[in-house]
Amino acid sequence: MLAITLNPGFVLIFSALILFVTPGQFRLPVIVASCAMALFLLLDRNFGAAGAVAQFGLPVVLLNLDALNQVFGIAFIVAALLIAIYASVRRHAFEDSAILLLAGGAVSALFVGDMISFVAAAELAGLAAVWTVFASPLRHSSESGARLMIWCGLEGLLFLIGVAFHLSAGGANTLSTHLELMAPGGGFIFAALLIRAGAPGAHVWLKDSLSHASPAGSAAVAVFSPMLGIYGLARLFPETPLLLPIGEAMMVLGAVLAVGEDDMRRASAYALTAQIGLCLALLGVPSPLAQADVSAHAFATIFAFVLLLMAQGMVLMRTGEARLSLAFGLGRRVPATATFLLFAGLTVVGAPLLAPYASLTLALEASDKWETRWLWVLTQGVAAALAAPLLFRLWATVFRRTDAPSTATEAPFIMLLGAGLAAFFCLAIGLAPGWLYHLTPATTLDFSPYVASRVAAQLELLGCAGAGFCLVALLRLTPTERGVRQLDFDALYRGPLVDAGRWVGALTLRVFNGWQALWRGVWARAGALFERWTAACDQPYVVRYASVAQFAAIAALLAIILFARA
Amino acid sequence: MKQRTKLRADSRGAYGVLLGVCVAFAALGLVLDFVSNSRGSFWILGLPGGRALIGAGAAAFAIGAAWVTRLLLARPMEHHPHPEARDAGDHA
Repeated sequence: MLAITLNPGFVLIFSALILFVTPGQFRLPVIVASCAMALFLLLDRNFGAAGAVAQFGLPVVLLNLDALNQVFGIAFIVAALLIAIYASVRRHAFEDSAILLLAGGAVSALFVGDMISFVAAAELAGLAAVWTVFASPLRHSSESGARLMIWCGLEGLLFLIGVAFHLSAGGANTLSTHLELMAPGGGFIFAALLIRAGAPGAHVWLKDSLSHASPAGSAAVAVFSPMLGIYGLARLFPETPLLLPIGEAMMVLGAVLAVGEDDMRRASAYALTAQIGLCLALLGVPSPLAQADVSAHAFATIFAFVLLLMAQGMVLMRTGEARLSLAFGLGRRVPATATFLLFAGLTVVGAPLLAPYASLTLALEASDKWETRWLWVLTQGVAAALAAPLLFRLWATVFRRTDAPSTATEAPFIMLLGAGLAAFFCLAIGLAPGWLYHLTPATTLDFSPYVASRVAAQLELLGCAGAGFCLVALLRLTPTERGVRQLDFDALYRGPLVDAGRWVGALTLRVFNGWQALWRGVWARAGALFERWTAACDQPYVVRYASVAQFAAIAALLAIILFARA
Repeated sequence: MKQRTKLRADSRGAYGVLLGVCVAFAALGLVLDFVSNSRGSFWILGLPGGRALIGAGAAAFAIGAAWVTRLLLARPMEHHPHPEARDAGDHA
């Protein structure tokens, strides 16, 4: 039997290039075939490295399969397939290519076995994400793409510096070793991966890109970009204690910024930040269960957010805006879309029987000790807090009666089919989480989320959060739903810092101009004097006092030279 | 003004239904939690009923955070018809 040792991501990258010249009606079959081929290559191999070559004295391993990248790879490829089905409603060769290239770059990065190839593939995925945002037909997407490119450039620079330091310090060019945060290169690579994962400060690229990308593009960027960051951290920096506070900060930040957001896709981006934060925090917990749950939670989060962003994308497509303040009566006008929205909200907050519930209960089990008590509280509290924008406020908005006329209709069938398949995966994983646990690196994981105490705890948590929120809302003590634009950290460098930069630039230009004018004046004066002096020298026969003095000085000098003796 | 009153009344209906559903789930969860509590907990919030406290606290946190972000970070849309006008593209 012929053993094919090809990185599954290369198939997707190759197909992304083919898509340019593929007629519109054949693009979906090409994507489906490439995803099927990639999945076959992924599942038809035993764990281990293959395809190793040497380049410039460094080992380059193009395929290295293990449990960690397998679970991420399955999620990435299936998500790419779902997004392709969902996106096939429109003809946009550039965006289709960009999304598939993004998927291909991310999948390639998962399966390479050396650091240089990982950085190259990750940066390819980053540039493809930029291209995906550029390809969006929404207003200001090109500016958002430019901002994302800056983040990608910064991340790539940190990656390059980190890898250069790592290799020059004698480090191995392999992803099989765990890097030290304080080692040469380790800190830079860590910072680059934090940017990719959307750590506090860098979280703005995620909400910026997700709110400007197209419906399909936002799902693709949400899945392939930050999840690759989680994979990189899980691969290179497992059990790094610093990840625990960083992850917890992301959870709190995501929840705080999501609860008041009017733009549904930005709220989703913040909710994703919070869920990524949970993955990072679990990475910082030194226990096999927590490390195994990182990949399980990333897997469940991928499908939950694909569904959520697909549902919000349908609202965006049909109404032109995905804002809570404009979604009044959506439940009557587009019931299927509203159902998907609410189902997605239930999924993200970890309602029982749905995918994230399986990984959230595992996270609770992993953090069920005194040292990680705040992670234990945050895991539950953040899920319940995220229910406010993604479930409770949404419910009240979509089922609010409105007299406003609307011509909005349901999204096309193929989009509903894509969202339905994503919902099916969420339900399937939630109903039978055993196979997900089996896929995680901890192969001996024996955990049952459906025991009465765990289900009861989750029902109690979400029920009490909902009851509390509804009671306060009925007392009219919650903020009213109105169209607002919520500022974030990027408002600092896009607003005051830009103004300050412009002011400093103008001031510097003025100072420079003044300096130049001063020098011009000085040189003009010096030139005029020089000109006068040379003119004077050109008239040696005109007797002047200066000429007499000059003659006397020369005569004195000659006398000294001739007659003076030491 | 009339429209606002109507909208608020309609919103209360939706919240009322949701409140009923949530209370039912919370009650079911609480009963099951107290009945099925077979293992000890490492601290007080893990005891039966502790998740109810966390849930209620999360709701209070969500409302408080929504007010704070609305007061500090929100800008009305009508004053910013082009909210992304000040961005990299303008300064490129």
